[in-house]
Amino acid sequence: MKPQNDVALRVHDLKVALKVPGGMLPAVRGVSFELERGRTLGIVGESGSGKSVTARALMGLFPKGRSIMSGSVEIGGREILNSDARVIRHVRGEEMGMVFQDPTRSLNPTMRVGTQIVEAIRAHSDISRSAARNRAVELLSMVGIPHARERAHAYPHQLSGGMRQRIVLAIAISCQPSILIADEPTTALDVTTQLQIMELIGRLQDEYQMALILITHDMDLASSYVDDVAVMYAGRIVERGPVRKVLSSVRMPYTKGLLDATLQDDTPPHSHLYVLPGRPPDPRSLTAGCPFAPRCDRVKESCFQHEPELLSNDDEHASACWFPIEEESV
Amino acid sequence: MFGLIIRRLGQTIPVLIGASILSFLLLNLLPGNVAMAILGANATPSSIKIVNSELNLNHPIVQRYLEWVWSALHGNLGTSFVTRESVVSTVFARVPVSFELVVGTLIVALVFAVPTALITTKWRGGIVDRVGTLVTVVGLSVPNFVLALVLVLAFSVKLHLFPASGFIPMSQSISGNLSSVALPIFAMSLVFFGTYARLLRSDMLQQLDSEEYVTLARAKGLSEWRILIRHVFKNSSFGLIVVAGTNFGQLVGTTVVIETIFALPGIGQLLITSIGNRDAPTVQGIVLILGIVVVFANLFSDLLYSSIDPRVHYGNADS
Repeated sequence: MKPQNDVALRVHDLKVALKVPGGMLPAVRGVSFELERGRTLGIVGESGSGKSVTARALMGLFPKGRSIMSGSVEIGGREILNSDARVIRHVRGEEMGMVFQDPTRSLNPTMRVGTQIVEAIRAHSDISRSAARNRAVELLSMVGIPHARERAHAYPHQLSGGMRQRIVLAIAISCQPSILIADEPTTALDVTTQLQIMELIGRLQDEYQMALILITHDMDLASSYVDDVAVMYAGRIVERGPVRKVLSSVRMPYTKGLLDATLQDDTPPHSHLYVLPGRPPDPRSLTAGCPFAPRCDRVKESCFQHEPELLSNDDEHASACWFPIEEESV
Repeated sequence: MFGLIIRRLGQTIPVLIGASILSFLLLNLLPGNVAMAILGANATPSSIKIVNSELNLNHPIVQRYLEWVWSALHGNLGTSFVTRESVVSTVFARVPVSFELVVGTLIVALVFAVPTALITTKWRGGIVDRVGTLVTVVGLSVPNFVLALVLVLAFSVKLHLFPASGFIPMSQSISGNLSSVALPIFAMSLVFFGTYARLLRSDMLQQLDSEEYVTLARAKGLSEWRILIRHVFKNSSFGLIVVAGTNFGQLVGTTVVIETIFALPGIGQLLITSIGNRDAPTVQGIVLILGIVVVFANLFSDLLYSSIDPRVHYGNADS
């Protein structure tokens, strides 16, 4: 598909600090990206890299008193960051839908699934209850739930994990948003269901021409479903570009570490998988240098002096590293 | 469901046996005896002896207990030592008063606790929350008998709004009845109001902060009030029903103090008088009847809980 110049989401220098016991946690430290309708951005990183916080901040899901956000989030040309509750409510669901990691936890256990969809529809349009019900049943069959009319009366615990995730998807697309955020949508599901859910997400994206943000820790999953990838580390994007380019010519040692830690088609059986040494840093105790320096195998003395900026030689592929991996050395 | 009812009724039996033995023993350990209560100040040792043998009080305690159990099993709770009236009819004549107090207290406590919990949760950390928390803490920490006396002083002695004591039956005058139970119910309900409001608030806050379904509800674009009422309050109310059910015994216990203070002719007052008179059959009868009532209240709250929480199904294999 030819990319159209229809920017659905523009994020500029987004910073999010969360209030935690004992101070503020700078979870996201300046993230910028743009996303066009119909395209998919994969945000990849370990737990604690700030990828989920970024996603939730886009929807304004952190309560005002317990987070500080700065920068800019534009949806369809309108600034929504730190705007008032009415604007944000309008954006949620209507402009932006979200799918969460664990559908067992994200559905209300004591409400019929049909009602949970109806509620989402009626939050944004003045249609009657019965019209909303019919629409909910339509959505249920659209996300591949058989006997949709009867299933609408089920409670979440009466459905399988895959079914529940389909319900969450039905809720997310109920008002035909321009942007869909999927935060680890398949992590809590078993492998065969994962594939079905990813295919469903792709199909819905095509149907509604949604911009999709796929948040995952799984490089492998990202490489098969996204157009662009942004690798996050310690609250920043450290490498970004079209997924083919990033995979074929990795620049940032952290991205390489993530790739080496995934199973490839040519990985021989019984071989030891590479494990990235160390753990992600605590965002509260970052030093002046590159946050990845302590775990990096290409680290030099100067890496500890200043944090590198996200820079690109061509305008598509960018990385934040003082000593990026050269193409010939890969 | 049926299995649960049977099991619960089975559990009542040891509870009732335990309670009746305990009350029988305690009544015997107390100094003084029923003969003195009947004969009054001019009792002589010989007249006391006559009364004791008339009431079979010279039999050993185990024998007396077993005799009581035997007749209770035949549906006969005996006659009062003092008034010579049937225990069952004496107790049941007083049921309406205590029933009105208990039900009124539950209603008043819930009617005030639910909105308080909702607004303190909605504006947590704000001034409303602080005032609400203060009120609930006061409710929890002021003993009901102190509150009762303060209420009498303010609303009957000074303002003459409500009677200080006494009871007007509903059959006589509805407004008179309501005004005669207003202060007692208010005095009783404050502690339950505090308990329910705090419980509900903390449960709702916990859900708001940690439940992912709340995040999804927000992501749908629902208003905070709708999330609070349709999602969070609904899910927290199940816990409230269970607590209200298990608190029922405490509620019944409170009537003893309040009925005495306000001179209300309920079961609690009868219990106090009967203990004072060492009137064993009446005390035993009340303990037995209250025990059954409390067990049934718990059972009722469990059944209510299981019928409105779709996740809970007792004894059904289908989910």
